[in-house]
Amino acid sequence: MSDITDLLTEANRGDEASWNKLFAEFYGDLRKLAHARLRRNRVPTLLDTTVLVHEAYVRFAKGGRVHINDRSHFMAYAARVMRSIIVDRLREQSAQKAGGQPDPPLQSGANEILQVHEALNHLATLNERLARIVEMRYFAGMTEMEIADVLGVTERTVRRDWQKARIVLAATLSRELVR
Amino acid sequence: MKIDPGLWPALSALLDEYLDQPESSRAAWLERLSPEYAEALPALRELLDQAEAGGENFLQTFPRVSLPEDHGPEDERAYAPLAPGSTVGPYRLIRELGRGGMSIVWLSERADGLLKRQVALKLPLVLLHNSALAERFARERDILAQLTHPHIARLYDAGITASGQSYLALEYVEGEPITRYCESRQLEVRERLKLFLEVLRAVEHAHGNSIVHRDLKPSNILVTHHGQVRLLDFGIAKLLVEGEAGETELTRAGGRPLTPEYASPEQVAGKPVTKASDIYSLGVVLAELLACGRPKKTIVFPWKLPADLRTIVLHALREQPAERYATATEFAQDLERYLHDKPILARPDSLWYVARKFVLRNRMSVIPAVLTLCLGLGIALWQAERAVRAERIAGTRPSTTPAPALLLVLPFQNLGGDPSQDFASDGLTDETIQQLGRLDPARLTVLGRTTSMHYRNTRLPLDRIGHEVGVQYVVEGSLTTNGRLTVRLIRLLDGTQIWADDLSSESTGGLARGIATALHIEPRSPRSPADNEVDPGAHREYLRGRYYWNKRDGESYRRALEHFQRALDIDPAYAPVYAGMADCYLLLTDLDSTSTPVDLLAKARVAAQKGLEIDPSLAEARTSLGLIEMKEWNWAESERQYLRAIELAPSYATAHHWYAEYLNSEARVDEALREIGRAEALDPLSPMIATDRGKILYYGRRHAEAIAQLNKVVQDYPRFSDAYFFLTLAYTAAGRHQEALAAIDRFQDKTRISWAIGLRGCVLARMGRREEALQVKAEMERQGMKPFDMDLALGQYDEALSKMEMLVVKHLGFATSLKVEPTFDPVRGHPRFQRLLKRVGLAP
Repeated sequence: MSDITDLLTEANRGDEASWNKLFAEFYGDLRKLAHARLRRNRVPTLLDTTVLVHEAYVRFAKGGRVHINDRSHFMAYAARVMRSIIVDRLREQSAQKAGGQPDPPLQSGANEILQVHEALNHLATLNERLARIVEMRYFAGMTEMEIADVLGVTERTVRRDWQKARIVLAATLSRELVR
Repeated sequence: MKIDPGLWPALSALLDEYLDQPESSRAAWLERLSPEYAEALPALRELLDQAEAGGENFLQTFPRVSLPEDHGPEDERAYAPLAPGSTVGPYRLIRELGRGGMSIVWLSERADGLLKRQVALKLPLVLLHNSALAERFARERDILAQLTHPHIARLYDAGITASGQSYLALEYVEGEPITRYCESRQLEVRERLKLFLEVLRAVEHAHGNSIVHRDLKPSNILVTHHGQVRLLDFGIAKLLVEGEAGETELTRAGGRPLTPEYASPEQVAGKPVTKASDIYSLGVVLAELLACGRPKKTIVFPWKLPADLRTIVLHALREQPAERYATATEFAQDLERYLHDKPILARPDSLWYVARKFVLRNRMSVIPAVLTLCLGLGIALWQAERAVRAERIAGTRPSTTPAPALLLVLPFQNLGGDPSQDFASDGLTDETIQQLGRLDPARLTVLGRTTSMHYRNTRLPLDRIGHEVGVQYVVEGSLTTNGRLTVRLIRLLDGTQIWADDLSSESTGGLARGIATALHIEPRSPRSPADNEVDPGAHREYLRGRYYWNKRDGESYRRALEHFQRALDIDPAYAPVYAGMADCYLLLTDLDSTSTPVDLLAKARVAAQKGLEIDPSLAEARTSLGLIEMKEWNWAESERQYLRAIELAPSYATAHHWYAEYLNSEARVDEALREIGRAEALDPLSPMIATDRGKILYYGRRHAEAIAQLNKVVQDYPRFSDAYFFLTLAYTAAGRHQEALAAIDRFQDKTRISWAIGLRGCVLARMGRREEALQVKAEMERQGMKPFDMDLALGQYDEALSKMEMLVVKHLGFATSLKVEPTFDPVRGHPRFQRLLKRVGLAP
């Protein structure tokens, strides 16, 4: 079962059921964002992650389909979906390349991402917020200011949590990291 | 390595300390670490050693990965963020100034260096691809660029980049919204009117050039530091809206007014927008300016405004565009006449007109004429007010979703007439408020209990109450001697009863569900344990407990605790009781001298956690836990609990109120004000919440505003002592010592007499009346008090710090205000004070 399926199953529980549909509609946009993040085009446009996700949120809120106080939740959830898309995409690719000819430097990038993804699950058992911050910053490419806004904490707190998360993740991955 | 979750809390705390050290001294710090951390130390060392393997740049960049080109061309659109230094068209971005629903604004300058001028570069979120739209955009731009007036911010340039990004280069104005400008300087009515006349002159000029603003509101009407009015975004709304026609989802939003609370009825209805629409918006702004920036107050309290000014405002606010002032010039001339004590031209019978219109429109059968007259302006502003309030509660502009319905639960009447049964009627009222507060906040907002209780035993007609607090629905009920509760839900618009039920007061679980169904609101979550039937005996004891709790003094907290204990003896799994107990212990921390706050906090924590164990969705217990964490200085955890509580019960005023206290302690003033605004909107008649707004302003060094706010509170609630306390502090901080002394003299509460004495001593010390101050201090010390605030006022800093060091470990209330309380400013830079701050977890 892919991570996306996990996620949607999770969203199906409790009162989050309708989010499933919302994110299915929004999936195309998030996929574009996620792939752009992997490729990293450098042309500046307004459609950075936060703006695009916010715009989708406004659209749903307008239709009365998400609560007006759900913005933070929505933004954080979008980052989670992006993480899953990225991970799914990389796994799919490594499956295709299993007998093929991996491009070594790019392959190591994919490895790092997948390892961080695994380690993040461990981090989440220690402190959920640290994991969410890594998700938003590393996978979704949000700035510290935007993350602080989503979590409703200060930028200082985000910066500190990020430092701590980096230490824990680096230690978790110390034997596996391809340097 | 994998980290043992059991060790994590200790590790996390040590990591914080480690990261607090400058990088160069971290190794030494590790060596010096005291043996009490022996358990976590090996894990910390291992963690840091292994983390080094990650290297300095670990996670700082996202690796680049090659993907096969299996995606559509839409993937080619790039998503990198705007950043300082990047360019849009001919402009180089400097820093972001703000963002709204439709666009982002960056401070920018020309990239080619031709002009050094800095501009506010407005970047609409929607891309323009279509060339016909681009042409129209250019045409509009040329018209707007010709609009020059000293009070209108210029549009210098506008264009579209190759990638379809439109941009508008506007004059960069540094100033503040006219409403805030007037309020912070406490301008007199005449001065406000003079500023407003400048606004009218600017609008007159633009209208003369056939340009309509379409989105006039305080945030578009700035006053510079030189006191000059500047109107922003003239005609921009049209340019954006028409530029987007037929483009995207956002277009439909664009067609609607951008800011509903200032929009004219015809804009709301989606009809053509004319100059008359601007006149209407200006009417709303003027009303807000004259009501001291708080339209709400015009409804709750009678307006002391001259009749002519009311007439002028109402004339601008006429529903039919043709009946308003025909031009900004006429509007201005009437105001000039008023300022020169000449008769105004607007027909003074407009009050009657509005009143009649209102009665007709709402088919309300009986409103005494005099009452209607008094409420004239209140009614006209009622609708604008509702939108403003909805926005405050939701924290987001409700431009697209209908405002939630507002509902007030009136205190249930105790028909038995036996006052000893008041606990049951009051308790059931409370429970109903709480249960309704869990319903979908986007659909229903329930006002808080203080506001409800304000109407206890009232004889006012329902529609009057409705207008006073701006609700559309009222729940009322009565309790008979034989334990039957009759409840009715009334729609005020037409006075109909839309739901009623008669139930046993011992099983009221279905009440909220019945009301929700009548209002077509889905219950928000699956049934929580709170909905389950409880033992009637336990329920009765719980209600008695809450009844005493609400009396809010030391003795009644103890009685409340007894009743809560009895409730638990009957039903130990009755979750809300634990929240009630936690709140008792919490509020006793400020009053009880027999137990220390530390002990009380520990008891409160046990109770709150027990309640949450039984029912994790119990917002009241989460809120209590938030305050416990805060008083125990676990800041991050406190915030987490508050946010969760608000998510669970968005209408629970106390959660917003206490969260505002938290933000206040962390010096997050703007957020604290926003949050206290939500609490106020939910519980508009709570003197405690109103006082805390004043307190936040005072802690934020906004003394003039704090004084204005607290004076309002003491005027409205002359017996509420906390307000005098903070009023005195604010006057003192502002150097207005005589007024501070006068405020102390008005302070009547004999139970808090030591406050008054201490405050008086501090003011005397600051006035230089040292001998008198020293006498006060000596007397207080004789009585065993430790008045460190007096030491501070007397300049005896070492003494003050010693006392504070001794007291802070007891988790007394002042500890959480260390970071923000102006009284501490003289010792703020002292290393001993810095250590105190660190101790409570508030060091930067």
